Amino acid sequence: MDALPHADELTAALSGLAAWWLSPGPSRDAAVAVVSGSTGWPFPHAAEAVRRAFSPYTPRTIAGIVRAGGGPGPRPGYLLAILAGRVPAVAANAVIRSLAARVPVVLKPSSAEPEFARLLVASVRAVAPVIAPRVALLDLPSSDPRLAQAVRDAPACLAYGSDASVAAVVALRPGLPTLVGAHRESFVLAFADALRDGSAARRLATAVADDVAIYDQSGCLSPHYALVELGGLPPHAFAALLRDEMARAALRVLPAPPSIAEVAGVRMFVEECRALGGLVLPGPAGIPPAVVLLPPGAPARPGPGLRVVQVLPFEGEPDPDALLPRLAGRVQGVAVAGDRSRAHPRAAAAFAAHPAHRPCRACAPGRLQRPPASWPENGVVIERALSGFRP
Amino acid sequence: MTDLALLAADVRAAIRAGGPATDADFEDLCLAIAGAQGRLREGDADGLDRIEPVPEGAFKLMTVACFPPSEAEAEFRTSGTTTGSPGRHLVRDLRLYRESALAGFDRFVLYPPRPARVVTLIPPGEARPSSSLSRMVSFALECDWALPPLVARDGDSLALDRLLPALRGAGRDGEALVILGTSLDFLTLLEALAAAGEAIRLPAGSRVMHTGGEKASGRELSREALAHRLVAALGIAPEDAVEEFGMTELLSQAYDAPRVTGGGPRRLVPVPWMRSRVLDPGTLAEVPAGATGLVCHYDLANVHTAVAVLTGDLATGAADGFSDVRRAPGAAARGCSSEASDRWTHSRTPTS
Repeated sequence: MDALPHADELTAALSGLAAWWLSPGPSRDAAVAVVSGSTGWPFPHAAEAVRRAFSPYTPRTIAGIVRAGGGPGPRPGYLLAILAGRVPAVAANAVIRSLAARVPVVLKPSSAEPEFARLLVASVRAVAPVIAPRVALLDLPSSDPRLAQAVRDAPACLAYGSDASVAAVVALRPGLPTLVGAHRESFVLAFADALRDGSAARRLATAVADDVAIYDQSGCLSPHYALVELGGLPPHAFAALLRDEMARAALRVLPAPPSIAEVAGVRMFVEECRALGGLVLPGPAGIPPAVVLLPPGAPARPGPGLRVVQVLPFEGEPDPDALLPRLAGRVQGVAVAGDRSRAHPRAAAAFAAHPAHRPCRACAPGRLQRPPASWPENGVVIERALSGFRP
Repeated sequence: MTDLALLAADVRAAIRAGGPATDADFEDLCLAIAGAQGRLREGDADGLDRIEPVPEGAFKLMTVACFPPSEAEAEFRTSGTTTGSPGRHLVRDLRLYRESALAGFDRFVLYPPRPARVVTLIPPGEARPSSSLSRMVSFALECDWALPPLVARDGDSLALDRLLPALRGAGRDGEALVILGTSLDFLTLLEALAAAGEAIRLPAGSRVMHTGGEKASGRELSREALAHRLVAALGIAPEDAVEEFGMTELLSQAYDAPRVTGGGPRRLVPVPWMRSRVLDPGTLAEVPAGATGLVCHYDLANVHTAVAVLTGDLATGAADGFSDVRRAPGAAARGCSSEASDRWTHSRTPTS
C-alpha cells in the first residue's frame, strides 16, 4: 500500500467520509437499508446505529486523533482488522483510527453482519478516494485457509470475536502484535441518591433504557446489569420504572424482530431467574424485553441479551466481584449514577478495591453508547497503539 | 396423610383408570397438585394457565422437591450434554414412576398382538441407577413375557454377539419382539447389520421403541431417517417404529405410536395423565395447532416435584400432542465480539 497523505489531507478525507455517512441522501440511505436488512434492525434503528458510528468523528475530533496518531514511532505495514458482531462503530473505528495512525487497514467483515464493512470500503472509494488505496477488504469465509494465512502474514492485527476466535488468531501469529477485543460487557452502578425520589429514578431508568435499546443490547457497551444501592426508591419500584422506560425506548428505537429460538432462550432465562426467587417484569407484549430483579446478594446470571436487564440490589459499598463474578476482566463500560461528588469517589474506590472489574469506559447513564472518538476500547487507544508500534 | 400424599393416591387411581375421565378432571387434579406445590399464579388466568411452570433448567440450579430430599427413593440425573451441567430429579415414590411408565409402555408399545419377548439395547436400572430411562427399562423387563427378556448390553457397548443371534432366531421362530433402544444404540445396530451385509426379517407384530440419545454423539440422525432405516433393516412395518419421548424431569412419557394414536401426521402424544402444550415463548399463551413454540408438560405423576415443566424444546403443536421437537438453540450471541454460527474457529475447534 502507498504512503498515506499529509495530515490535513487525511483529516479532510476522513471528515468527508464521516460526513457522508452522517448526511441522509439516496446513496447513504440505500446503504443504511442494506444494514437494516443485514442486522434485522428497522431502518430508523439501523440509521441511528450508523449515525452513532460516525457522530464522534467531527472535523475537530478527527484532527485531534490524526495529531495523536502522527507520532514519530515506527508503524506496521498495515493493520488486519477482524471484525465481529453487528455494531457499525467497530468497523468505523478500525478504519478511521488506523488511518489516523497512518496505518493502512484491511477489514475482514464480521460473519454476524458482513454488509457494513463492505459498504464502508465502497464508501471510502466513492467519497474519500485519496485514502481508498489504504483501505481494503478481505472478504473471505471463515473457513477459507487464505484467511488463516492472512492472519499469519499481517504485521499487526486487531481481532474481535469470541474468546476462542481471538485465541485462535493470537495462536496463529506468535510474537506478532495483536490488539484483542474478546468478549466484554457493561453495567450500571446506581447509588442511592440517584434513586432518591420517583423523578430522579425515572430519569435514570430512561437513560439506562436508552443505552440498552440501541443495537438491541448487542454491543459491548450495552448494559446487561444494574447494580442498585438500597436506600433510595425500592429496587422493585426501580425495576418497574426501568421496564416502563424500556417499553418506551422500544418505540423510539424499534427492535429487530427476534427469532422464535431467541425468544425461547430469553424465556428459559427469565423462568430460571423466577425459579431462583427473582421478580420478572416482562414488556407490555411479553418478552423480550424484560427486567429481572434478583434477590439481594444473588450474583448475576449470564444474560441472554435482546433487551433483558438484571437488577441487582446491594447495600454498603458495591462488590462487583460478588455480584458480577463472570465479568472479572471483562468490563467494557460502567455507567455511574448518583450525586457526582459522592458517587464518583465511591465508584473509584470500588474499582480500586475490585480491580478486575475496572471498566475501560466510565460515564453517566445514557452516555454509555455514545463514546468519544478516542475512547480506550478494550483498554486500547488504537491510534496511539499503532503509532507507538514496535516491530 | 399430607395433601400431596392424598393427591398422589388420586394420581395413582387416574393412571390405573387409563387417565382422568375428562379434560376437566385432568385440569382439576393438575390445579390441585399445583396448588399444593405452591405454583398457582395470582391473577385472572384460567385453567392450566394458572400454573406457573418450573423451567427445566431449575432442576440444574436448585432442588425441585416438595419433600425432604432425604426421603427421596431415587435420584435421576440428566446427562448435561446439552448445557454442560447435570440436573437431578428426586423421586419420592418410585412405585408411582413404575405405574406411570409401565402403563404408558403397555398402552403405546405393547399394543396387540403383544410381542413374546423384549430385547433391550439400553442398560437396565441396576447398571445405571441414576438414569430414568434405564429404570423404565428395568420396569419393562419385569413385565410378563412369554420368552425371557434379553439385555443386549455389555457395559457401554451393545452385546452384538447375543443380539444378532436373537434377532435371527426371532425371524426363524416367528416369535415377535419388541426392541428398546436409544437412537444411538439403533444406529450402532444398523451399522453392524450393514457391515455384516445382513437384513433381518422380524416376524409380524415385532416393533422397536426408539428414544432420544443422539445428542452430542456426533452421529446425529433424524428421527424420520432412523425410523426409515429400522424399517428397512429389520423388516418391520413403519407403524411399528415407535418413538418414545421422555425427560429426566418427568415421570410420564409421550409416544409416537401410529397404531395407537391413529392416522394423520406422525406426532408425539402424551400418556392420558400428562398434557403437553406448545406455548408462545414470548407470552406463554398456547399456540394453535401447527404453530411452533416451547413445550410445557403437565405431568400428574410429578406430584412430588413440579407438575408443570417448561422445557427448552421447540416443537410444533398438534391437537393431541406435538411434533418436530428440537432444542432451542438459545438466545442471540451478544457483545461487539459476538459472532455468527460459522465463526471461523470452527475449522479448528469442532463443536461437540
